[in-house]
Amino acid sequence: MFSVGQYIYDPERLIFYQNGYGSHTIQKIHSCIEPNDNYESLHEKLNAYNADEIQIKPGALNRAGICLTNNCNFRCNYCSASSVEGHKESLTIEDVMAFVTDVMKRYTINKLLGNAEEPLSLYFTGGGEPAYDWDLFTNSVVQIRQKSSDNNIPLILGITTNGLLDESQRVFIADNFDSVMVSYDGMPEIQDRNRKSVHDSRHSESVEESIRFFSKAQIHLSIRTTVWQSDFCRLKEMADYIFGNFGIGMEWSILPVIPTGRAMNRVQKEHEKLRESDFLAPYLDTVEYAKSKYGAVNIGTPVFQDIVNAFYCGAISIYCTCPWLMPDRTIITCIESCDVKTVIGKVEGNEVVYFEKCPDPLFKVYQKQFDECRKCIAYRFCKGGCPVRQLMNGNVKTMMDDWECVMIQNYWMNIFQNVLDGKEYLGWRGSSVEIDGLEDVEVLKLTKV
Amino acid sequence: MKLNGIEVNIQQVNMEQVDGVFIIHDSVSKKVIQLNETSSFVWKMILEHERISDDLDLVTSHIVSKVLEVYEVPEDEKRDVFSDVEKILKDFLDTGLLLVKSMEKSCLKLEKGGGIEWRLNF
Repeated sequence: MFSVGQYIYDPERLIFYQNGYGSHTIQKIHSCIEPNDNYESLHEKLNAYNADEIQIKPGALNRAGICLTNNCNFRCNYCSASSVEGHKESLTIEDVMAFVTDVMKRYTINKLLGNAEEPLSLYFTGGGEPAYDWDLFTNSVVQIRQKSSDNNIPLILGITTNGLLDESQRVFIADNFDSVMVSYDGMPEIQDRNRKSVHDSRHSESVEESIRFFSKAQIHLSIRTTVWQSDFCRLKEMADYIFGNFGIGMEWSILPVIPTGRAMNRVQKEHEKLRESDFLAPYLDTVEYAKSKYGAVNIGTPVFQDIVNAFYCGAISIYCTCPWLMPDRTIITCIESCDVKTVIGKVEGNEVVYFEKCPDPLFKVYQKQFDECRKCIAYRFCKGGCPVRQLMNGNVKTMMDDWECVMIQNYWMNIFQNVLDGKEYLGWRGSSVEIDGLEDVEVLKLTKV
Repeated sequence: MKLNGIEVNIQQVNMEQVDGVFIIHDSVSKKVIQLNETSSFVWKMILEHERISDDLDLVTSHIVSKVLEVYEVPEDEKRDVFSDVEKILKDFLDTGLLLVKSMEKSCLKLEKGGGIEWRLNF
């Protein structure tokens, strides 16, 4: 139970009631409103698996991802994969097509089972820059499109790119992809500081040109802005630059720097200062500001999971619904996991092989966090959080370790306070629950609008 | 239809092809089966045979000759093709893709075999 102003928040039931009710009243509330967290059964499900020897073999699939290369022509100062150039590991077109053929077969299983209402979704991202090896990239895309057409499989292609593209490359992506996410850090000055290009000093102009091009093409465009804690105060300026220069037709996704990968260089030096930066208030301010100034703009952040969750995400490996092919030909469960990845299979001799059993370090951490985080106010939404974050920094401890947790806790506390003030807030409201025999008792259920 | 002189029925299943390979969902057994390339070829022959010449007997040797026509089989492996096809037909019977109408199943003299790549229970 948690105190939120004059109320008690009961996370097992997602309800609020006035602080100060007697034990008899509280017992009556509890007896009339069943817990809906299913903790025991979810706990049992998770613990039915031995993370040291787990079988994660995808069956039917609607989604998969391909990381063509770890090479990148940018040296972003927060890159979680610490990408550089010169990696020798690279997929061949045969590797890509073996993986895609297997995925298409698994999609077809879904179709036969009546579960393939959506097209097959394939995503290119990094690791490195997907378009780095342009020949491999274009060959892959053309052959995938051809195969989907030959087999009458509806297909959606998506890509995340650093946007350093020439005109013909932009045209190719616009012609062949359904969605594109361009990484761009809000305004030229910050882009140039954070996302240095190795080969092109005028890279922010080129990236902006790509964004302008895609904003006019028939393609779903997102801009991913990664923001250092010290730049949170500049989010409104970024909103003006982005919506002012590229229009309001795209989605703007804002991600605060998470202390992993290359970001650790700075975090280790400045953690004391960085941890003081609050993302929540400037983020919410910016959303409100942009909506009032530009109208119906689409701004979001992947940090706050805005739903009541059973588990953290689909990348929890036992429920892996999106396998990723990596440049070393391994197949993993989570593209964010870098060197702490769970390898569930590989492409070998143009065949996809899923292992009968494998160790799953991510799942092991998740099992632990699922229990340990139960006493957190954000538990029903976060469910222990991302296991990758727990593992990625090895034994390097900084004052930023709990930064993301505190931010998520503040986010939910903020929603609760607004909901209890009678507002509809960030898609949530409190709906009144009537309990027989307790006419004067106020109970509110947290409800998604 | 007749297969090696025995009346068989093809199980009512949903199926799709990816790159010519059959993926079959048997809603009765709730199993999904993926055939490999050769067994897909044989399965297609059986489907075609049922469609166009239901009353004629489809025999293993005819299937084998078609396999040899289509695939480049090295001389020293040709003799294995017959037993491979027999194994595939046995698999079709074992998995229930083919149902024997009479009780003469044993006359097929098929051995245990492996033309099935995946078997997934749903």
